[in-house]
Amino acid sequence: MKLVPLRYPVRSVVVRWRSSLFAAFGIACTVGVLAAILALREGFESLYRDTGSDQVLIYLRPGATSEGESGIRRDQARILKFERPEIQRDATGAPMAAEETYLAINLERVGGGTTNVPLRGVEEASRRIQGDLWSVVEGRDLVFGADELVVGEQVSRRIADCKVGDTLMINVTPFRVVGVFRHPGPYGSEIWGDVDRISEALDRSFRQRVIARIRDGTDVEAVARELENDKRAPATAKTERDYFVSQTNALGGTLLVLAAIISAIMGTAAVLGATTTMLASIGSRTREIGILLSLGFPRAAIFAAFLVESFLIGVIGGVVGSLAVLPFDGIQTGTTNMQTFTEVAFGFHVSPGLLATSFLAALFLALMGGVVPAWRASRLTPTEALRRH
Amino acid sequence: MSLFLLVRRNLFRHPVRSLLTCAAATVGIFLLIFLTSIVTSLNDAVKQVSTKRVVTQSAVSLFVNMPEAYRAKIAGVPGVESVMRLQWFGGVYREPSNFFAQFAVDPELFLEQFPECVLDAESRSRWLSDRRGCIVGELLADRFGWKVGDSIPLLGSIFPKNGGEAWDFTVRGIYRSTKSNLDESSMWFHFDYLKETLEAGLASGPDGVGVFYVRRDDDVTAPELCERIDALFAGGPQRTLTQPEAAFQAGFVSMFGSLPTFLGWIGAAVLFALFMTLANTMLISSSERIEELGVLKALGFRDGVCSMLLLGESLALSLSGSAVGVGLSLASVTTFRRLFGTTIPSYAIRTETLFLAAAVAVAVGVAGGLAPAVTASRLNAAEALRAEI
Repeated sequence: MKLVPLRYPVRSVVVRWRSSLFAAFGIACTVGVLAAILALREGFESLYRDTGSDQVLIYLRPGATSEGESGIRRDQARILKFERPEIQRDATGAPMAAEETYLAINLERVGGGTTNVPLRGVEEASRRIQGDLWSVVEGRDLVFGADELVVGEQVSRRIADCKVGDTLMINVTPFRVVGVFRHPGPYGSEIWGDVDRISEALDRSFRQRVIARIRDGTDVEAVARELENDKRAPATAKTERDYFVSQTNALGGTLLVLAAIISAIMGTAAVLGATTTMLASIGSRTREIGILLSLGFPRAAIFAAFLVESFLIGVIGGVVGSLAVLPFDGIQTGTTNMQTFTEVAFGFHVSPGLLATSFLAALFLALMGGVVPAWRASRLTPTEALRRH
Repeated sequence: MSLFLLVRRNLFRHPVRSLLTCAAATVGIFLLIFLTSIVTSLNDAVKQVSTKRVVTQSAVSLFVNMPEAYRAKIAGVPGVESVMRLQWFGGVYREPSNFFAQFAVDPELFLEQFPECVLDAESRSRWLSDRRGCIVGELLADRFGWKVGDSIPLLGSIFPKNGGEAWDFTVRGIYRSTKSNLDESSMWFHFDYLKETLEAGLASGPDGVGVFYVRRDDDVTAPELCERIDALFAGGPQRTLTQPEAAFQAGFVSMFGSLPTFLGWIGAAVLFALFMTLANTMLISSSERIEELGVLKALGFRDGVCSMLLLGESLALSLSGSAVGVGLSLASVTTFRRLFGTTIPSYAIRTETLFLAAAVAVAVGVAGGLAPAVTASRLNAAEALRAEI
């Protein structure tokens, strides 16, 4: 098949550069917004997905879907902690497991307004279970038995009275903030203290969960099945990774729906813009098309040439849109984890895959806009086209 | 007169192009109204609350209950008219994805404190006399097809029944709301039913009361009353945080974090894209018509008239497209309410938003036609006639 030289559509885009740019920017806006929403979702989800371990098991009240609604009696928590065979033991024979409490407490944001911050009562092992992910970056670590707290980096930045040396009132007991810790996952948005001291301050007798590092090769599903019907200490057991992922479903889903609705609507507008440009481009070149046809170029070649033209517009739009969203990468923001009603801080995360998605979306939009005009161009009859002014 | 005729004729010269541009304006304005309304609906829920009500919660956390005895103590504070107990129930109807809000309240006080709840006399007495009865909002009833007399099984997640069976409620009335602070997507039932079931040992869960809604009389201001109530419990056992209802609700809105800002950015991108499309069309139209404009000028039409011709066309495109967009957004309110019922229960479009949309339509219309209009007015007749398209 005789193809129209590539120079033809390229020059056409360049000659009508203003119109081409307008159409390309329309597409760029759409994919820019799409990419921004997806970057937000990616940032939120990777916070959970990438830091949850398969080697860590979480035990909640049977049926509970989050720590907020879980509650385990202390004697049962103890049974889980000391008697479960899948739990790793350290050199001294002590289990690598911890009982923890969890409560979303009401604190003031830096700059006003209140928010819910997770307060976690932990045991000594809680930090060892997290391994290298958890480290103190400012001040010092907790002394167990004392009314002390360490706060996540995100908390110390966003929440009032959470600097080293500050005092936080928990109900009527003052707790001193002695350190700031770093954790790349959701724990980085939490406040940690001695589980016994916090339980006493809050007058709570229940634990929310037991967390443990498990032996290599543990069949987690079998353990979960067994515990579901256990008589003495029933529990829902999940790996930390699965638990984290389940926490992101609500918000991740909402963002996905939002991205879908908005990009569908904006995409329609962008397609309309691209169609307008292409129609005008073809309208003003009717005679040229007539000449091409009479020179013997097949209709398919004409169709392809104009599709290439809209493709080029899509490339420009895709590049501009993707570049526009790049500066968002790493920008910190916060939102509420709808599962526990607590605030989590995270950054926009612009991944290569996401850029590829938005680039492909731009091409798709441009081709959608180009297909009808290109079809019309290829259907012209040479004589008619040549006659038209 | 002739000017209008000319604008009209020009509009129908390329009907497809005009239609595409109008459609882009429709889509853009629709999205703009939608995004603005999400934000205003969230804020309205706060603004429309009664100034007669203050809300007492635990100072530590929204998720910690206060002792039942607090009710009598608060009732004794001078300036208090009535104290209603409210407890978030968090039950699951069949699937977790069927999420909706359920509250246990004192029914008589609820109806008294919330005059915005519209319920006929018959339903009222039916609900009051049935311990297991509940009332549901109209939107919620529509969503699941509930009618008066239907039974609603709910699995307790905060208050699981022993043995794992469901709680059973009977619909005794379907209410409507006259204000956006009370949504039509919630379910309200007897606090005493919850309490008795817990006391009988048939279910487990936190005892006490989640939140007290306090109605004040006119002898005391809201801030004064808040102070009085909190002073009562400053020494424990459980400190309280009492705020006017508006501040209490604002706390929930602020949970959305930077969502409103984010939506604002998207709105800006939408506007920009819309402007691009319109400017594109006008650019194409005007460049096709340079010769004609030259003719008009040669005939003695003033520069201003030539500009007005293009500006008028641009405005006509933008306004007619936007009008459809406004119509569509008004028509889709109910659908969106159903779609976002759980996140944004009272989605509504404000009159101000419609004015904003109109202003945007005019502004985009003018801006889109401005560049070609200026070019047209500067055009030299002889040059224009000579120009090649």
